[in-house]
Amino acid sequence: MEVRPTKVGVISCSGESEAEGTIARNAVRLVMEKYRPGIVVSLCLPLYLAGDGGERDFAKKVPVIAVDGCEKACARTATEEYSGEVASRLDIRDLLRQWGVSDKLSRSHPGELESELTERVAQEIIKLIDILIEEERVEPTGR
Amino acid sequence: MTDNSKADNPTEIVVLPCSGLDKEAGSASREIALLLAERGVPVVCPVLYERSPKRYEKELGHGRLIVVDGCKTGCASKLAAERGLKISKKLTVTEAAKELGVKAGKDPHLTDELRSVLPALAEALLEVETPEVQEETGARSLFGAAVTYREFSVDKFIFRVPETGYFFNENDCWARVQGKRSRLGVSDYVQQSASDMVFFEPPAIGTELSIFDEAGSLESTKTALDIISPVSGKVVAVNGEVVDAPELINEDPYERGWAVELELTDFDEDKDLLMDSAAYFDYLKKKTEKEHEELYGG
Amino acid sequence: MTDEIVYVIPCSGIGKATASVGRDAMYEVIEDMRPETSDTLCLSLLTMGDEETVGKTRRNKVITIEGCPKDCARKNVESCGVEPDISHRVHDFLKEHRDLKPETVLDTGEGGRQLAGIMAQQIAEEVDELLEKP
Repeated sequence: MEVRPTKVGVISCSGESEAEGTIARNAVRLVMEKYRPGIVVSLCLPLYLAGDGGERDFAKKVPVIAVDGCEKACARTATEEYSGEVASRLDIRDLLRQWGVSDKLSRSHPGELESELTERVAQEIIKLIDILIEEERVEPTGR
Repeated sequence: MTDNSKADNPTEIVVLPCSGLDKEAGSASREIALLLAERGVPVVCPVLYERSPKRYEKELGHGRLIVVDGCKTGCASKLAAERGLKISKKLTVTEAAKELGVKAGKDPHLTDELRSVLPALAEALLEVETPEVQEETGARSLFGAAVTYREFSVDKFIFRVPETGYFFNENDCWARVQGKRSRLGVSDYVQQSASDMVFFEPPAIGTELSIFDEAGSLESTKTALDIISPVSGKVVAVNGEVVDAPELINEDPYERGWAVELELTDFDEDKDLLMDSAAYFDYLKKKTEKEHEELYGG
Repeated sequence: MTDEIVYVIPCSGIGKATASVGRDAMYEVIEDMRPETSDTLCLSLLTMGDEETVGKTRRNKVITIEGCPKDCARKNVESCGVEPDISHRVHDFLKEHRDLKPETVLDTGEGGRQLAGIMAQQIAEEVDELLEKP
């Protein structure tokens, strides 16, 4: 009988030079702490790139969602280079475009708009996690 | 590796260089390893060792390990640490060259300037400690034997436990006993759970401790905790390196991150209340699985 | 007058409150204290070898800020063949200001914000010093 992983790895851009990086990072923390505790394991991108910790090996064993701030897609690229294909991905800049967000966003002092967008991105991440559960690529325990 | 390595290599060392190809310091690391190879020192290829560790089992089992890193990234040192190897001597090319007034550049080709100092750096690595130095560091050599580890993982976290030579209490503190002396510290589980250590307040030298007494206190970015002594004895040494840099406990909780050294009172009696390495491994595995279940339902 | 600026690069760590402090300190320097002479770069872009980003670090000064002793910012910068001019660890500042422990990743609290301010002050002065040197 196939043993399915019980966790989803989420690797996020946290690029400080763009607001999308801040939104990506905060959205992942929200999902991990509030919405899907126990299912999501966040992978620290700088640790991942430095090759330290167990991030790379862990990412080989579980489905990984890459949350990228922009089209440069550092999180997805890093995962594919060191651990394998990602199970799904989000491009925050793309999402903001789809939502018609044209305001200049703050990277350093998230306000009401940034918080609202962070919450919406968190919901998008949750949708991807729930798809993985429906497709039986992950079998979370205790739900 | 040459067959007459023992004859030409009386210090029985083995060298692990880094494999940096993108800058001069990496090339210098390789060059130093080649200079040592000319003296009969076996060279461990880091790439091959990473892929196939068994290949160098014999050399690493018998030799004292010298690590040559090109730069402070320390890839070779990290590889050695990941494999649980005891590093006898370490050289970081950029630092050593800086002390000689030479700067390693970004171009990977060796300049004459850097090349000229490499033989001296290689020679220094071959020097064996004099008996006087060994006497001074007697306590260090008592606890200097290589430690090998078993590990298990929970999610992305890997927990390590030494295979032998350590005794643990249920507070996840360890005692490493050598004759009448013991070093104490906290386990890998503690350093991972507590996160980054920022303060260590040791007990005073001369303090008499009973088993389960506090043998110093630690503070991390997350919490404060005490080192609960697994053994009874008198404090004869405190790890000054850990006082200055408590993060050593996170980096190397079982070796360089030792906290306190005791002269034992009655280890035979204390031992009955402790777990050996194998028992602690099983205990810790069950404990982390139970914690995980309680937190996440499985 | 040099055209150089100083790139202040934090570790980008997502899992520790001290990483958030490092990030906050960086923003304070580049947005409030030294907006004309400092900026930041995405560490991941740098490590992934983005040409434009790598070029910027080679042509300018670099200060790294580590959120934990794993030193990812310094290591990742060095992996691109650049040695940071100055490297800081949030923990070193925390050791000197024990009462300013940050609270959580998403909200470092009053203590965390004060710690970030202290770091930012020192880093701002270092930006000035680095740009004065020939």
